[in-house]
Order: sequence, then C-alpha cells, then structure tokens
Amino acid sequence: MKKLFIATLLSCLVSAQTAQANINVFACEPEWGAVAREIGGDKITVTVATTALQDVHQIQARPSLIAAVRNAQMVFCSGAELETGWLPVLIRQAGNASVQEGQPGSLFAANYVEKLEVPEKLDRSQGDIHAEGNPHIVTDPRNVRIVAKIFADRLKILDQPNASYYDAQHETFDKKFSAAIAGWEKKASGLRGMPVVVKHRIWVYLIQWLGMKDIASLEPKPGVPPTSSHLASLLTRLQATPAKAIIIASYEDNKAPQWLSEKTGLPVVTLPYTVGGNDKAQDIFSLYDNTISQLLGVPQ
Amino acid sequence: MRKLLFTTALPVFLSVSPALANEDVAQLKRELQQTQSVLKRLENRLEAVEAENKTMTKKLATAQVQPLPTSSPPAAVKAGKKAADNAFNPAISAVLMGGINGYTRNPATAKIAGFTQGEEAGLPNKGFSLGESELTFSSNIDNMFYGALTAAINETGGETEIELEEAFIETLALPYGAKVKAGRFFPVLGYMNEIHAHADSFIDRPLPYRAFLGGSNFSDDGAQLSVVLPTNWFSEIGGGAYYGSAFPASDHGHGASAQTAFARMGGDIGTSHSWLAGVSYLHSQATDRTTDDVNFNGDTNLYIADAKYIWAPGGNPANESLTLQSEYFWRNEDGDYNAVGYDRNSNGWYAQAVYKFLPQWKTGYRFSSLDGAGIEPSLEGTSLDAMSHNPYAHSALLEFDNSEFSSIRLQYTYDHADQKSNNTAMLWYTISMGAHGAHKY
Repeated sequence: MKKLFIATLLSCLVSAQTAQANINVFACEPEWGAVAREIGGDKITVTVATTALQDVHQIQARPSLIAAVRNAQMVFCSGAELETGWLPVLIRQAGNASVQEGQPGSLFAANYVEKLEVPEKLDRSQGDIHAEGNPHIVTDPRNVRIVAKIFADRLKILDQPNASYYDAQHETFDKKFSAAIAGWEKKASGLRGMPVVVKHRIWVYLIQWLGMKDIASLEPKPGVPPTSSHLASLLTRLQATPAKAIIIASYEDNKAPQWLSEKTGLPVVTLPYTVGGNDKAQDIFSLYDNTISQLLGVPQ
Repeated sequence: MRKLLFTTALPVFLSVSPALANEDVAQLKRELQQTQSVLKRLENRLEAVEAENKTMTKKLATAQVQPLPTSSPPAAVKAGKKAADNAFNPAISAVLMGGINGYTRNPATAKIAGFTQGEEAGLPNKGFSLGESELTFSSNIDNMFYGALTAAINETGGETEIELEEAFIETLALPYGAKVKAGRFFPVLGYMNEIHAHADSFIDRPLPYRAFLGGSNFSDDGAQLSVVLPTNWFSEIGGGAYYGSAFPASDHGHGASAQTAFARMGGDIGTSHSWLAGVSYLHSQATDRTTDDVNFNGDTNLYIADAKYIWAPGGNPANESLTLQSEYFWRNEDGDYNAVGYDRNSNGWYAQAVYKFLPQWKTGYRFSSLDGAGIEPSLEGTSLDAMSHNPYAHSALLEFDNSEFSSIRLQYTYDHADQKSNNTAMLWYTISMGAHGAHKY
C-alpha cells in the first residue's frame, strides 16, 4: 500500500509539470468548446463533455468526465443550473483545487449575461425550472461575444506568459464575430414578428434576438414530456393563433412535434442549437449561419 | 448502528404533549421566547448581509462585463433579477419513501439461511409501510471544505427516532487530486455502499448487502483519504479507518476497529458506452458482537469486486438506456462464535439489469445469491446453520418516473433466502423535495 502511494505521488508530480505546457479546458457544452478553441488556439487543449446530440440537462457523471475535470485547469460551462444534475458531482469527486467555484479556473457563462425568464416564484409544480433564469444563452450570439471576452481574460490569468497571444486571438475573433452578428441581423430582418411553436424553452434568447414570437411550448411544463391532453389543447389554440413553424433542437425527440406537424401542416424545423448539431453547424460561425438560413427557408 | 434520541432537542414539538407538568410548560415557553428573539436578531442580520451581498454582486457584474464596441446594441431585455450566488446555500433536500408490501410468508420471522442479520437487515413490514424519511443539508463551507448532514427519521414502536446517517466534511482543494473525508459517512466499499438506499434502482438491497454489511450501508465514524490519479481514464485509490461501531465491526476498545481500502477505474467506450469497476476491502474487529442468537469475537475480512456498465445511445440517457451492475463478495471470519473456534469463508453476489425503454419508464431484473460458510457441530440450530440451503432471490421491477423528482416502483421478488420461499410484492413511491441533488454515476 505504502509503495503504491509513493508511486502515485511521484507520477502526480511528473504530470503536474508537463501540464504547465498546455492549459486543459473542460467545456461542458460544444459552444463553449468552440469559443475556447477560437481564443486559445494551439495553446490550450479542450475537452468537451457533451455533444450537440445530448440533452445537457440529463448527463450522467461518468467516470471519464471525472478524469477530465481532474486534469483540467479550467471548467467552462453555462451555469444557471443547466449542469446541476452532474457537474457538482464531477467537481466534488475530481478533487481539483483549481476549478472550484471562485477560482479563475471556474467560469460559468450565464453569470455574465442578462438572463431571461428568471422565475418570480420557485415551485416545482411549474416543472424543472431554473432558479437563476433560462440557461440557454447560446442561442443569442451577442451573449457568446460577451462570454468570449471573459474567457480570454481568464486565460490571461491562468497562462500569463501567453497573455498577449490570447489578446490578439480575442481581438481577431471579436472583429470577425461582431461583423458576422451584423450580417446575421441584416439577413434575418424578415423573421421579425414570425410566430413559432417550440418544444422546450431553449430558444428564448434566439427569439428575443431576432424579434420572433413564440406562442406555445409542446412541453406542458419545462422538463415534463408532452402529454396528449396538452397537445390537444395546443391544437385548438393554434387554430385561433396560427404559427409559421415548430422549432426543435437536433437532440430533442421529434415524435410529438411530428404529430403536431401532421395535424396542423406546420413544418418542423430542426435547428442545430449548438456546434455540431448538424453537418453544416461545425463551428461557432456556421452555427448561426445555418440557424438563420433554416429559419429563412420556412414559407412566410 | 447508534441511534440518537433527540427527544430533548425538540421541546417545541413536545409542548403539545399533555403529559408534561405545568412548570415544564412554563420553562418551555420561556425558552421558546428566548429562541424567538434570537431568531429575530439573526433574521435582521441576515437581511443586512443579503442587501450588502446584492450590491456587491451588481458591482462585480458591471465591473467584469466591460462594454464592448458593438455593431448591434442588445435590445431591451426583460428585467431579470440577478440571482445571488448563494441562492441555495446550504442546499436542503428531503426524501420521502413509502409503500405497501405483500408477502406469502411472515417477513418478521424471515431469515437468511446460514447468515446472521445485522440490526437493519430485516424486511419491511407487511401492509402499509413508511420507509426512511431523509433530510439532507449540504453546502460548500468555504473554499476548502464541503459539508453534508443527512438525518433519517424513523418510527419504531411508537417512538420517533432521528438517526444520523451521515455527517461529514470533505476537502475541496487539496493538491494532487487528493481528498479527505471525515466524520460519519458511507465509505467507498463495493459499488453501492456510498449510495443512499433511496437512490437505488430496486426498492430493497440485494442479499449480499443484507448478509455482509448489515442491511443497506456500512456507516461509521472515521476518516477516508482518496486520490484521483492524473490519468486519462478515471482511476482512484483510497482507504480509511473507522471507529468500528457498525456491523460487521463492534467496539474493540482501541477506537479504530474497522479499516477500508479501495481502487477503482472507469471510462468510456465510444460515446454510447461507459463503465466503472473496482475492488475494495474491509477489515474489522469485533468484541462480543451479538447478532440474532450468536455472539462473535474476532476478525472479519471482506473483499468486494464491483462493476457497472451503462449503454446510452449517443451518450443520451434521457430516452433509452441499459444499466448493468454486479458485485461479488468474499468473506473470511476468524475468531469464535459462541466461544467455539471459527475460521471459515463465505461468499455471495448479485447481478442486475435495468432498461429504460421510454423517457419515463424502466424495467429491471436482479438475481442475488449467497453461499454460507458451514458450521462447527456445536453451532447446529443457530442462525449460522444453513441446513444445507443456499439463499437466493429473483427480483423484477417496473418503474414510472413522473419527473426526476418522483418515481413509483413495483417490485416482485421470489425470495428463497430462508428454508422456504416467500413471494413478495412491493409498490413504493420515492420523492425528493428541495435542492436538485446531483446523481452519482
């Protein structure tokens, strides 16, 4: 036993030295992984915990993720309770001092943007609501732009020798990204006022950004799967106030949306939601390119 | 397991009891008034601190988010109040369990052939039955410590008991992936020991837990050191020492009568498969330990190998998943039973599969089995006498989860742990309130 402990300690020391050469970033979601790569370039190694085809609310605290948090210098996540079912366990089990809350190595994106849908009343009869507000901030690129700046600042703290590199990377990214945002807004001006039906309330930031209108959710309450009675009442409501499309994310089950689509003739638009959500959305730029061109493809 | 009677700690609740003498009531009233004024003062202070905290948070937020030159000024957003970082500090949650049980044979006299049963290894009673109601407080204490307190409230024989299940602190920021846990807790031992019974897939624990660990968990006062190694795969080693108050240990006089050691590894295979496997060891000493009709003095060495595997298509367990889990136990007891020299081995195992076939529905099957140690002739007729029967049980499960926070389970068990078989049906609910508990793998 004693020998094993000594061997372990030695191997830890060795790996701690080699780790300094590169900053390991543990990103909870693909969008933050993509932002990290844009800014960190080849100076950082990024591990992304989830894919665009997974429901981030329901990830298991798998052993591989504990190992990844153990070896990270920074944990870069959405926050606002999105990862509350698994991230706290990972952080506690990993025993990694540098990613504890309050350290520069702990970055929760939602803490730095204005959140929507902060509940007035906390009651689980309202479904699985998030006390801090809607955490799906990625659907508005202006939020991503704010977070990219915060991330660059954190990298500069964690890896001072490369501070000027990160500054330059961020400047290049920010120029390109803000120009892209202006382009998307121009392109999407025709979407203003477009009424849509959503499944789970993950699109509030997108809808607000582009001035669309969401008139109904397929889930009766957040996190509660669509029930037949709720769908039936939705059908009557849609006859009174017609929508243009049903929008869902590529990770979401499409049975209920398809059913509603057959009944109403509304098209189901499967948006990527995050980087990797479809073949075309492969980085943070093409994510919004694809989202907007799919929405523009809906017959108005 | 030591039970703590908190009868004196709950004067407010007892004040309704007519059995109390008048002067006691007056005394209680005075105490209550004092408590109330203290509470009022605390409340005022808390409000002041909260107000200060809010302005600090605002200041920090504005300081950190520098205005960026923007081509598209953000549109006016619906005013969202900034949630304080400590909205759920400490996190408080309660778990309620209960149900109804049917047996073809009386559960109160049920035995496990060839094994003595620890205090909590028995079966739930026939008919309506309330499981443990659990209350948990947990929080990061500061940048260095995490703490948690779990109390289970039971009623036995008309008396309400508060049983301290866990009360521990854990370090957060030691170097090299090391962690120290101290206090009373469920040590890492096999797969299920560190998990609370309400988080299990099945309503009851499999036979090896009842036979080798005295019911559902080995819980004791002590300290555990563990290290997560800096490998690409998950690997962790650790061990601890404990007072020795819980089965299979009993107070041995030197204050650290039980010791554990463990090593475990885990990882992913592609995106859809993940696994965890480990070995662990418990050594315990017992002096004058009485269970059922036998008395034991000596050493117990328990070795456990465990493995768990989850298949979730695309790493997305929300709609469909398959979980396989198995543990093997091997035990040597060296000492004397009823003053007769004894050095024998026994073993047991279980394997279970749980399949989530719809987002809200699961079904499962479990087999568990034990192989007793055999006995010295003078112990014939005691609970150690298996009468050449090896205990086993088949269990089948159907579960409906309305949400993450509530589930209803129906379990059927063909229980042949005793000489004669017992058909068992259980219909139980489990709900959790309050803070959103994160789930262990």
